[in-house]
Amino acid sequence: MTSTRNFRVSRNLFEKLTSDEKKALPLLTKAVQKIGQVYQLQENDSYKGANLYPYDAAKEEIEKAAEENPRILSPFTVVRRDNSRKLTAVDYHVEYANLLKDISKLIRESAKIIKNKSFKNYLESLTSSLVYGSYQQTDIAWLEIRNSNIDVIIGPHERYLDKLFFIKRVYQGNVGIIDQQETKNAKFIRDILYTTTGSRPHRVIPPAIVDIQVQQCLLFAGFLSRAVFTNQHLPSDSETTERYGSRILGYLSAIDLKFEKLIYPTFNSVFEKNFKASYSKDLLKKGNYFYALLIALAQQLHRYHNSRTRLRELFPVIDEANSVASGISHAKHLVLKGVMDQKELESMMIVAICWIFSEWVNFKKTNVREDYFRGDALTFNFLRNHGALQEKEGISWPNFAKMFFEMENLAVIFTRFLEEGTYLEVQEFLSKYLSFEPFKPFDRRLSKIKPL
Amino acid sequence: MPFMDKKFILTRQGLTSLKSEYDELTKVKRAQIIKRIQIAREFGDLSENSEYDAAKEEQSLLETRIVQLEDVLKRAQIIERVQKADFVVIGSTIVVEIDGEKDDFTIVGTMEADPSKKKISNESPVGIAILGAKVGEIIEVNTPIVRARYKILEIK
Repeated sequence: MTSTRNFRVSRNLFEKLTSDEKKALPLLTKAVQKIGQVYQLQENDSYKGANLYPYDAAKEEIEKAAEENPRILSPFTVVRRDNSRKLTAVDYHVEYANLLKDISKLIRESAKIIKNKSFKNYLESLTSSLVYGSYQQTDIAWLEIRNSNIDVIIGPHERYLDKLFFIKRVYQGNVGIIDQQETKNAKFIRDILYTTTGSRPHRVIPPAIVDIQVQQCLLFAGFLSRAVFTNQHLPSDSETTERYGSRILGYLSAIDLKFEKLIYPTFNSVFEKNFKASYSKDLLKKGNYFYALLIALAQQLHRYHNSRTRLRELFPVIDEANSVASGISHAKHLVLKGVMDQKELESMMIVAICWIFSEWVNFKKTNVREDYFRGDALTFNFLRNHGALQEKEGISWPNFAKMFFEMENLAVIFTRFLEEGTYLEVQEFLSKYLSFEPFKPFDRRLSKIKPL
Repeated sequence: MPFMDKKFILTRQGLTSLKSEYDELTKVKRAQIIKRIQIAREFGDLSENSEYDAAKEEQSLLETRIVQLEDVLKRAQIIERVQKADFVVIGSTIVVEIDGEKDDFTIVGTMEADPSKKKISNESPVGIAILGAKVGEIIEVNTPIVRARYKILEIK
């Protein structure tokens, strides 16, 4: 199975790079490629704990061992059995030392070439974090980068592969060229939402407004190449983001790839013929961009203290579902203030349905984005049960006003779960709305769509 | 009102800023971009010349903006700085409550609108609904999909 994914970018973008950036880019690309090999050692779809825990260790046994040795449940250790079959923790930078040393060397070489002081500083910090496991310093250095035309992420970030505890992070890499114009556009939307939505009592308020950066990607590796995220909110450590701030990365190449390969084909497969004629491909593409941006901003706007520990492995399901519901409901401010017109809002809601179905297509092939699909299934079933979606020869004419109204209701429910909901409450909601059955009748229509 | 008769409502400050932008584009930027195109032409083969393509694209955007500005400046209608009124007019800064949260913004003409800086167009759904409203009033803003209730807390 491949652990890297290349994207094509226009030659014009390369022209805008400085000569040192052009020189460093091949080294950074090589480093990102290699991190895919580390990820391959971590992934294993056959076990809930992937290769991060021993296959024969039950959840209870791991929890018990962690009481004695908390490093067992550190985000940056692999759990192994020693000769006496006792569970022990091995740091990532020790477990994968051979590969990480090579990657570190490539980054050190590129740091020597780069002239931008803040980017050089980040690369130097990244070099040591891979070898010594000092991740927070690197995250801070990354947040301090200014005026670079390229960006690179290498390290353990996302937790989705750990389906036992949702704690351990796995390796990923990304190298891309920053699109200054699209970054400016995204900041415009961000500023409207940030000046409109106030702060709630439990909301985590970062020290500064969240930064946002849109990039054309050259290469995804490791977990990112499998999940093909359209955006990421980094650093992934909440203690760091609360103290030092955070940045949303919008991956334009992934947004476009998904639109062409999944979203637009899904639109053509699940919607009724007469309905489809009212929406052009360009309009839907615009809706897709709004959708990707608004869910990323909504996820950042709805960070609450303790929600991860309170909701445990149910957190990513509700977090995903809330991003969609809140993202769409925040579009209200864009419509009222004349930034988004009605057709664009409609196309964004159509795209939301297409994303749900495309997650179903992905889910049937791999469980790598299972939490996402579970969150999407909650939303779909809620809308269907409340009459916002009608089915006849495909989905025909969604009632957009009703759909928007129910999305706002869902946003209130999910936001409350994240703010102060209990594990049991969320479990109860899941037992009412989490079913995959309503998707099965669409399988024939979706049969030609290939997951990424 | 037929489109061609449409007036663009601007404050004096807005008019000055659009005039300076027009001067900058016509007197400085236009010449710069022509020079860039000439230099790029010298690189040879235009079908494989990315610098030439980028400069031509920029020139097209620049000329579109110049035409737009000429049109706006021709049909500009100046509104005087608003005195504190007891109802919302163009130029009023208002504090409202929506969905239990406070928001504040200034109603301006379309050309000066920048929602990211809290300047909302008088032609946006909220702009249309809120002009003429008084403190304490609750205004319903309904589009075919989105519904919202704004309570006017303060007019500055």
